[in-house]
Amino acid sequence: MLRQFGHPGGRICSVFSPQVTSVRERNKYQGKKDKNFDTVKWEHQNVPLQPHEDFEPDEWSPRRLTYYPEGLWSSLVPRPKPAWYVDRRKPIDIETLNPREKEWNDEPIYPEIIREPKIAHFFKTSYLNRAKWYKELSKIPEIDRKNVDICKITRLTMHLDRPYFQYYDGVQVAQNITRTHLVDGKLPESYYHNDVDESLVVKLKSLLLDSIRVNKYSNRSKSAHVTIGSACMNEDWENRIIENNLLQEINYSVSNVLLPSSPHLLDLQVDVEAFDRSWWYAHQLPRPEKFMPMLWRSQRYEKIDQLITYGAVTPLQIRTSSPLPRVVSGNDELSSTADVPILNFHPVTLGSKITSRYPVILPGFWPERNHDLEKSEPNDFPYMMMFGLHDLETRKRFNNGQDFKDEEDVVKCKAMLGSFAWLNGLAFYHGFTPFHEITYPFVTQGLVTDGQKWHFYVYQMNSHSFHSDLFTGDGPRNICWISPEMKLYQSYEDGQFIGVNDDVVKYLIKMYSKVPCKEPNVDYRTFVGKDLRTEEEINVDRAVIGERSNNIHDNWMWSYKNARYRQLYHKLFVDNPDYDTTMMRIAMRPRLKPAEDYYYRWKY
Amino acid sequence: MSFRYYPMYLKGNPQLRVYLPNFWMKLLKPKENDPKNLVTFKVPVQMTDWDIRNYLEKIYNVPVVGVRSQVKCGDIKPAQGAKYLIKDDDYRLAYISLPKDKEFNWPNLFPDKKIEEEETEFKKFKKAMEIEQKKGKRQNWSRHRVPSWFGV
Repeated sequence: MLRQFGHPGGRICSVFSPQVTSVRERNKYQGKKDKNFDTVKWEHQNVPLQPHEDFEPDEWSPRRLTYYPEGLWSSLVPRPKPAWYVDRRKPIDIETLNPREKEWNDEPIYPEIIREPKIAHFFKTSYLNRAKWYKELSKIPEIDRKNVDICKITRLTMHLDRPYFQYYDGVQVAQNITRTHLVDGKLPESYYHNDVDESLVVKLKSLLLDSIRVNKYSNRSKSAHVTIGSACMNEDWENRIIENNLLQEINYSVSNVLLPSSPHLLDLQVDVEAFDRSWWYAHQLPRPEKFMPMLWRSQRYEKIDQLITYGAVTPLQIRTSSPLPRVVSGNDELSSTADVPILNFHPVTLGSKITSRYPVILPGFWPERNHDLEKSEPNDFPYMMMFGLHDLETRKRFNNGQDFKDEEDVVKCKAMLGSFAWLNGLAFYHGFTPFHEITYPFVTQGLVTDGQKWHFYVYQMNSHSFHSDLFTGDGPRNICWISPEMKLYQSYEDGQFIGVNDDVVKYLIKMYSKVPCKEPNVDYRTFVGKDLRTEEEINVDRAVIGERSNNIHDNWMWSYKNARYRQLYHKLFVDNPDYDTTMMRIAMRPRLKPAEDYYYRWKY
Repeated sequence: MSFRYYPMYLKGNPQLRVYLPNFWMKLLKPKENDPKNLVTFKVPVQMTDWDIRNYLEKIYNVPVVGVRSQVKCGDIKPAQGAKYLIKDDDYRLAYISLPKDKEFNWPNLFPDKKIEEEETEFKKFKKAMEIEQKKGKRQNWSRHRVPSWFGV
């Protein structure tokens, strides 16, 4: 049979095999229960015996011993019934009205204030409860705790495992789900490079070209790094290592050259191959046909807030202790009324996948627990991101060898998705979850390069909470300025670079010479601090936040063979080979008197 | 299954002038909100993405950018008047994306005007047929009370 390589869900023969039963076979045993009535007495399920005469209705009576080990419940095992279930048929006297004496009182008696029921899940409750949940969430000062409380359960998400889309024509999708306005082919005016020192350019250019020569064109670069591993590693891994080395060396040489003139570079913290995890809501996407929670299906929503999770490796990301200055203000036309494309279709129609995942936020590094902000400052403000271009080959392979020839689109997607996901994560570390809108913009700069082709971009995140509880659809836009493709050199022949373009080096210098500084009168961490609540207060807050049940986990928990009760399973079924034939039938045996129980034990 | 090569010529066989694949592709109507440059086809399961691409590019000169395809399970339904299930054959759905500036619009093969024309034509034809039938039923007075074999 012919089968396409790498086709994820494709199967030629379907696995579905319906079980065909004959009607005659099925009806054979119906209505024949009375035949065996003498031998099998089916009393009521586990009616508790009354142990003493003054048995009160609220009291629990002891249950029969069932020989069933703890943790191995199934629907067949008789459960203890409450006492009201036993004598529920007894008539009860109900006084509908208060007696005359009780009706009037000198002091007013108010009804007891009952707290609202525990919130099971913020989607299944009313808006008021949800708002309460958001408020309670903001009270948690520790970011770790907040992360755990949010991501307890899996949700149906549109998962992005790389900062671009596998399919063609994904730019509009990336723009819509991050609500980004794209300024194509232009960087902001502060990045124009008229005033760059020429001596620095000359110095840096030679360093850059050297590192490109060594990493990209020398024999060392091809399968010389890892002699044993390279035999079994494919081309992409090799290219990834080469490109990561190149990006690190670019960062290293730029900061070396610029350090004397710009001391703020000492403050930079570099993450190599950082794994960014992030999630957010895309605002009001059209409802996908196939993948939908039952709740949404029953409500028949036309549009939904699609949860999006992101988990991808950023080759190089740099952070500092204070933010970059904002490029445009919030009142600017660009951030208030720029256009963002509207999607008439769900991205599933273009081939993206919906899976169930835990929504977790981690911007490439772990937060410092109980960080004392008075003593020092954590480096958790964005400064720079770097991406390579080697994964275009991988993308081609995933598409069965098809080349869409849309390299620029991929670069734009990387700029938008990669930086939004990272900035969203950093905002979470400043206390702003996707349910709490940021109060100041996050700005990062970035570049996408393979040594020869260079793209520079600047991203300003003005808003990140798009859930329709908090967002009406018209708010500040995120903005991405991206330069056109620039070539550092036209070609490489006989060990010489031909047609070197100085503009690229100047842009690079301009980016690294941006000085991060804090604005006065801005509280950068409103919701963050030390947890000073008492245990009681924490418990009260936690009751509102609620222990949410996880459907997937529940299913896991109740099956014998899965990890939770692995040991128990072994103890039962492997150590006692006849456990299955003896003990598993105990739940199905007839109800017996205690004396009979002993008599029949050999049988059941 | 398509023959990917020209069938071997044996002496006495007719010589094939034109080589046609024995695949078929059925164009499906796009859904209401689908993007304009996305076209959907129902194709046989054995067809690969590259077969689909070549089919469209080489035979119909369609500018294809990307092809995605999925194998779908055929319908499972109860047999009519019987108590067992039957299953339709599996098929493959191919999603073809055209370049961004290209659009595919579903051709309206049956516009209202055409339907009206056809209906009036049909009515006319029906009327004529009725007249013809009546003619057959009408008694021939020149052969009144003569048996039918008389004219043979």
